[in-house]
Amino acid sequence: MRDVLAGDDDAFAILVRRYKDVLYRYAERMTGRPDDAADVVQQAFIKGFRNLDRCREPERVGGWLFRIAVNLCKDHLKGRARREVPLEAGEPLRSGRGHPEEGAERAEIREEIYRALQALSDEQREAFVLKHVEGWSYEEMAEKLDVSIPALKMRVHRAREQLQELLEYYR
Amino acid sequence: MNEPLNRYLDGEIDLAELTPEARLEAAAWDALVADAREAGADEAPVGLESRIMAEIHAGRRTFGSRLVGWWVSPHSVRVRPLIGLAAAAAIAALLFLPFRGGTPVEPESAATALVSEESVYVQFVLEAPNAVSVAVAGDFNDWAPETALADPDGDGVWSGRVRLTPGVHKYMFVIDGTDWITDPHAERYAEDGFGNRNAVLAITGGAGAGSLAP
Repeated sequence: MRDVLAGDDDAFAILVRRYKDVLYRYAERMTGRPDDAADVVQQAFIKGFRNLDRCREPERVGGWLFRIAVNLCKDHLKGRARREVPLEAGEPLRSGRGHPEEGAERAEIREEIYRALQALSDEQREAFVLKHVEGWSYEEMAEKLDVSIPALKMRVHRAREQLQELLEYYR
Repeated sequence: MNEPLNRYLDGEIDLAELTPEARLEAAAWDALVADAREAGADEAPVGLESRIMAEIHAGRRTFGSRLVGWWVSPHSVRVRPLIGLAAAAAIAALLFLPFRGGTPVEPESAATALVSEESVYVQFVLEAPNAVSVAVAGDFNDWAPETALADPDGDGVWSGRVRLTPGVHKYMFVIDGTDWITDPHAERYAEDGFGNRNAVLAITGGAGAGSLAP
């Protein structure tokens, strides 16, 4: 880590190798577009590299990079919202009743959940993904997003309600 | 959605505290959350790492390139005549001093190079019954999770031999290309500076064959 902080490119490459997947998984769920996610992750690492001297806890550099990616996702989505007309959530994504069986349907189900996540507001999606996909506690979320715990709970609860509406079989 | 279910999903109460009906709903939500974790990409696209590092390399000028740039760029230099004269005299004196050569110093790395010519095969073993692939990554392969271990008989015990030079090596196992696991049976560990622990392996060089040091 000393080498990374000293600006050693090769040492930083180890960080990129280690954290690129976790950052990409988050960015892809947040942006809903692989190309946008790759751009966000690239920006996150470059911003991280240029601001290594601001990493106060080198032993938690992964979390620090993740937080940069979270903020860049936010900026990216705001910019995109200004440029593009948002899609309507529309009809429930699946009309069948009962919980889907295990098996071949699984990939299709996940695709529907992925699409449903994209239909949430940016704040709701961020809160839901961090809470349920990344497994963060509300305390961690509050600290890293600078949002109060009650507000985050409200976002997650609304995200669940919205998903319930969109994914009919979970009603 | 009712309040107890939300509290369960927030991790505030246990499943047992819900009514039987709410437990069914909770099970559906647990399944949804599990699917949400699996929905979307598992890993960054191939080439992203190279793209990032290429931009980092391009975006920074090395000390060497800055030095060359300084020498080839025009500079205006203001010097007091007296100081300029003194500097010229000093340079002239240096040019006319007799050259006194020294005994060449053997490079310090020679011993290291000799030692590094020896190498030993180290067997890495990890029990990972649910893994699709297991690799070992360490300072010996630039932390690239590409040195694959094998599980030919499908018993969940992955192993592979890696040729290492004597010295202290740090490594981790990488399951399915994404999960970095510390060797649970390592003799020693070291903080990796990224919030994890690396396993530490010390190998001493022997005459003809190496050995693992405790």
